[in-house]
This record gives sequence, structure tokens and C-alpha cells, in this order.
Amino acid sequence: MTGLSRRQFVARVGTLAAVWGIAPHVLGQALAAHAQPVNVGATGTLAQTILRSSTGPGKYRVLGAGPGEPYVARLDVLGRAPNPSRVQSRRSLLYLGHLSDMHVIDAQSPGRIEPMIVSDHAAWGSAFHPQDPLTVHVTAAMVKAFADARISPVTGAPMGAAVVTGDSADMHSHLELRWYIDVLDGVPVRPTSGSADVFEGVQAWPEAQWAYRPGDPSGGSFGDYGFPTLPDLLTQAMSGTVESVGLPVPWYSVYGNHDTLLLGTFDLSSQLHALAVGGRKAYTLEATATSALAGYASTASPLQRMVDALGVGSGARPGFRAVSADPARYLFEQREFMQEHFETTPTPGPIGHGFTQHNLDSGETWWAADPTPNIRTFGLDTCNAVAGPDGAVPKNQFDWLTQQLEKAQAESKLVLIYTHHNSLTLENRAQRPGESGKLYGADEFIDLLLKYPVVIGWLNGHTHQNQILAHSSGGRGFWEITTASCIDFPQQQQVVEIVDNRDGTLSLFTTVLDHASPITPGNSGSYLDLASRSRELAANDWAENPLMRRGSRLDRNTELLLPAPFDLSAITDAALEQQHLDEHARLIADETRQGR
Amino acid sequence: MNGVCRKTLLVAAVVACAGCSQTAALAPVGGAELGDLRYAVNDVLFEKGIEILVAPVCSGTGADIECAGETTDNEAITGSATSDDASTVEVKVGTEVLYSGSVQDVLDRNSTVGAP
Repeated sequence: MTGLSRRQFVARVGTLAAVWGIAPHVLGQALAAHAQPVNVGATGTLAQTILRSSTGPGKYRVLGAGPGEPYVARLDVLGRAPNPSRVQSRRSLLYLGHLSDMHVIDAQSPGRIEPMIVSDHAAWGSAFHPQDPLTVHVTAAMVKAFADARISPVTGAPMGAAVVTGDSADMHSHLELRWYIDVLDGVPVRPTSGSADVFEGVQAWPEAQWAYRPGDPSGGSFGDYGFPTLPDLLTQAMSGTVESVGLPVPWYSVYGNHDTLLLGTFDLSSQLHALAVGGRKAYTLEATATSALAGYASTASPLQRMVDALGVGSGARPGFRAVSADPARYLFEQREFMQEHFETTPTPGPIGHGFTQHNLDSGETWWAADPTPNIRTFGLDTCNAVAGPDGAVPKNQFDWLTQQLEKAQAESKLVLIYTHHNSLTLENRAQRPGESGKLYGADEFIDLLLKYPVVIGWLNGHTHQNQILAHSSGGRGFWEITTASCIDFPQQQQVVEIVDNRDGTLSLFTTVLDHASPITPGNSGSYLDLASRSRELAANDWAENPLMRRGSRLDRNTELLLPAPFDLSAITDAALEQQHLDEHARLIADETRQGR
Repeated sequence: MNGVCRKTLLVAAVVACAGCSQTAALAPVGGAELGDLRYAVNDVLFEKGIEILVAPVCSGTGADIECAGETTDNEAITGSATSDDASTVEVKVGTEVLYSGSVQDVLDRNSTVGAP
């Protein structure tokens, strides 16, 4: 097959120069430079990994550099040895960023329930992490890693899109939601709320001895473990403005359980709504258990709710400290999650990030989008809006997806599925009394996807682990790819590239990304140093079993082979070249805006 | 009332039971036990240089967790939990035992700089 003719190339460059406001000769030169071969294996986790070291105070361990990890070919779906010649002949169909479980946190919010770890640290581990004030910094450092990885290490293809598979805001705070969108868009964020000058949260309060208090960790379990004394950490976390470079490509988003329920698990009570915007924050288990998690919103009378709100507001209950009230901390409702995605910058876009006016009008929380002419993506909402962290696929989405897959199969579109939950966490069938709509679990969902050979990948998150599972039947199948999180160690995300091997097979390359911060944190207070500090603290958060979350070598840098579901030569080289030109031009425009 | 709620009541001298209607929703995220064991099995296979055709697929709970896969030479790969809490595992290719021991030890050494 042949690519674009010279005449077609020149015409396309002229069009793109006009679209992106770049002089044609500048764009032409930049495109020529981007066309140079890349040094495969020279970057990211292909070249170096970040591991725990054997040194540190007490049980605390600092991090160090480990060896790079080349791609591991996985044959589970293909069922045979691959053709070695594919290395010379392959072509990229889409190079995609996959983010998940960023858990952006407003650590000073009175709507948080950190003291619950006192009751059972392992069970409530997600209520408090020692690195909670540093999530904006980590997310920005991760966005920089995606910007740095905008050219594929496998084929040199430009990144074409990115997807966020849920749990973007940790505790339903509007501020957390806003910060996540702004960081991905490249809008500066100052990650603080309430008082502009003083950190008002459990990690600054001597009374909260159960917490990691970086100014003086002594006396509690974190201090006993060996967590470091960092007197400037909280001030550094809240005082600087985080200047995220922004994702260089259009990004899409789906719901996670933390975007649906409090802590991804509990219904939002009227009491919690009041607490979140109020001027008292709990620092004891008793205060938290009897206020934030009272859970009687559906049964309490309006009078009772008012009395409770007044009780907290007046400081009549013990276990609370006064903080600066901030109405911006209000808890968003389910539909507001979609609405906020329309409050975004035009680039990288798209406005709504997958959600459309139809979603806002109908309340449907799922969508379809074609990031390229040959690939169709479906963003589903697998979250249970009643209770519990795990999910399922509601019948209305299951039926919708069935129709959509029929259509995609008929149109020869390669399909990627995006959800928050993965196949090990899709069995939550909690329903409100009187509800009877069917909720489909993992086996039924996988069987559905297996019926349509055009489905080649299912990207998800939720468990904060790197995990890759094969699903196959009758010589065909797809790959399920779960990425780790930005909150728990190893704080990794990934890029996924769909490659046509031109031999009747496809490969999905997964490449794990560490965020773009140094292995050893400095004390500069820069967002990259703070992100690095976060990773080190997370690696020592024993309640979260941090080392397990890296996954095995078969779950990180991989080449996932599968049979092509149709004759891929129908996708012409010229069409792909034009797609890559368009994507390169978008990246060059982004680089120009960023001054890179 | 679940275990978390009971512990809450033990710690707090005066806790309204209304809190339990919410904390009863607390449940662990699924799949952790299977995940740990599967990672350990995979890493043992990788350490030993086993050519894998089908990576082990794991199912069950506790001591009943079993993982089954296949090498490129069509030999069976098996990984079996050997303790009630699935904290230990035996990994075999055919009848050859590649590893028998702690799951966490495998995870730790594969995440630690310079570990043997």
C-alpha cells in the first residue's frame, strides 16, 4: 500500500497549518523532525523502574532505581507464536494515554473522614493516606509524563487521545473535580481551600496523633514506622501554584465509584453536605462516625437535619476543630460530574470529554466516541449508586452496548471499552428497595464482548494495580488492561498502542509510566519534588500493601497479540498517514503553546 | 452490622447506631487475594524463564485458589494456594515444582532494588 502523494502531503500540511495557526514551513519542518525514528527503549520504564530500596529509618524505606523492563509478548489470545517479521512491518493505528484513579484530594476539607482509619486501618485505608495533600502535584507530574511520552516508543506514532477511567475526585468535592479537570487541561491550580495561609487539617493538628503529621510524626503509628519529619511539607503543598503542562491530546472521561458515592462507597447524607462547606472539621473517630457517616439522610426529618447541622456548626460536639468555611468545597451530585466536564478549555478538548448534551439532557452517564476513523470507543458507567465500591453493568447500558457493538461490527470499527471497574470487581448488585433492573456481572459482560471480534481491548482501573488479563473463546478474544493509580504506590499510569502487524494479527503495546518526578525527592517545594515525596510516602503506606500494586512483569510493559478481526488492509496507508499528520500537527501546536 | 461497625462501637464510648447504616456499606474492593497470588505465580514463571503460551488464570478463594496456564511446549502451569489465607503458594510446570513459599516474599523481591 502507498501513503499520501507529495501533492496530498503538501495540501494537508497547508490545511493543518491554517487549523492550528502555525506557519506552513514551520509545521512542515516540525513534521519532518517528528518523522525521525525514535530510540525504542530509551525512555520511561523501558529504561528504568522505581523500586523500594533496603535502606531508611525504622521500617520506612526510600526508593531507588531498578532495571528497565522491555516488552513481554503475551500470546494468550493469539494461541501461537507470533511472526517475527511483524517488527519490521507493523503500523500504528492509535497511540493512547490511559489514566485512572487520580483521586485528587482537598486534604483540608471538613467533608473528609480521615479518622476512620483509627477503627481499622486496613479496611479504611483509603480514608487517609500520608500523601493526601500532594495529589494535585502527583496528577500534574503524571500529566507531564504523558506529555513527555507523546511520541510512541514502539512506532514513533504521535499520541492521538487519552482516557480517564474514573475516580478522578476522591471525596465528591467540587474543588477536587475542578482541580482534576484543570490539571489535565493545563490550567494552573493552587491546591488549597479554606484559609489561604494556614493548613487546616488533621496532618497539622497535634490532637490527631493517629495521622501522619509531617511537622512532628512522633507519638503515632506513622512516627513509629519511621515516617520522616518534614516541617515545610504542608506549607509547600498548599502555597505554590501548580503549573501543569496539560495533556497534549483530547481526553475522555468515565465515572468511577468515587465520582458516584462518598469514598466510592457511601451515600451522600445531608449532614455530609453541611459538613463539607462548614467551619468545623472532625479529628476523632467518634466525631466522624457520629456525624459524617450518620447516614440517615433518607429517613431523618428536616428538623433533625437542621438540628444536626447546627450542632456541628456551633462546635457543640467534641472532636471537631474550627476551620475556615469554604463554599467551594460543596459536594457535587452525580449529574454535576458530567456538567463540570463542559467547563473546560477548547484545547486539548473535546468539550464534555466524552459526555455530550444528550448526556446532560437524558441523564445517561455513558457515551461513544471515535478518536480515529477506524476505532470506536465506548465509555460506560459501571458504578453502583446505592452502596459499595464495586460495580456492575446495568441492563440499559448492556442493551445499548449490544446494539452499538452490532453496528461497530458491521462497520468494521475496532472497539475499545472503557469502564472504571474491572472483571474482578463487577459483582456488586446492590439495589434500592423496589428496584428490579438487572445488573450484569463480569461473566455476562465478558461473554457479550466476546461475541463481537471487533472488541480488542477493555481498559479500566479501580483496584490501583497493574493487571492484564486475556479473555478468549474459539480462537478469538480481547485484552483487559487495568492500570494502577496516582494515589497508591507505584503511582503509575500507562500508554496503550494499537498496532497492525500486517500479518493478520494485531498487537496492543502497554507501556507503564512513572510520573515525571525525580526518584529521590528534593526540598525545593516544586510540584515535581512534592510528587516525588508523595510516591515515597505511598510506598511506605503499609495498610495499602504497596508493593503488590505494581503487578507482575506480565502486567506492565507488554505486547498483547490477538488475531485481527477483519482484513486490516482496508485501512489504507494513506488514511493512516493523514491521521498521523493530523495528530502530529496537534502535538506541534501544543508544543508551540507550551514553548517546548 | 459488619466487622467495621463492631470495632467502631468498641472504640467509641458513645456512638449512635445510626452510623452503622452507612458503615455497613463498607466492603473491600474485590479481587485482592486472587491478584496477589496471580502476581506471585507470574513473577516466579518470569524469573525462571518459562515461555508462556497462556498465562495462569486464577479462581477460588483462600486455600482453594487454583491458577492454570500453559507453556509454549504445551506443559501445564499450575499455581495453588497452600494456606487458608492464600499467603503461600506452590508453582509447578508439569510435575516440576518451581517455587513453594510465601506470596509476599515474591512480591517484595520483585519490587526491591538489588533483591536476589
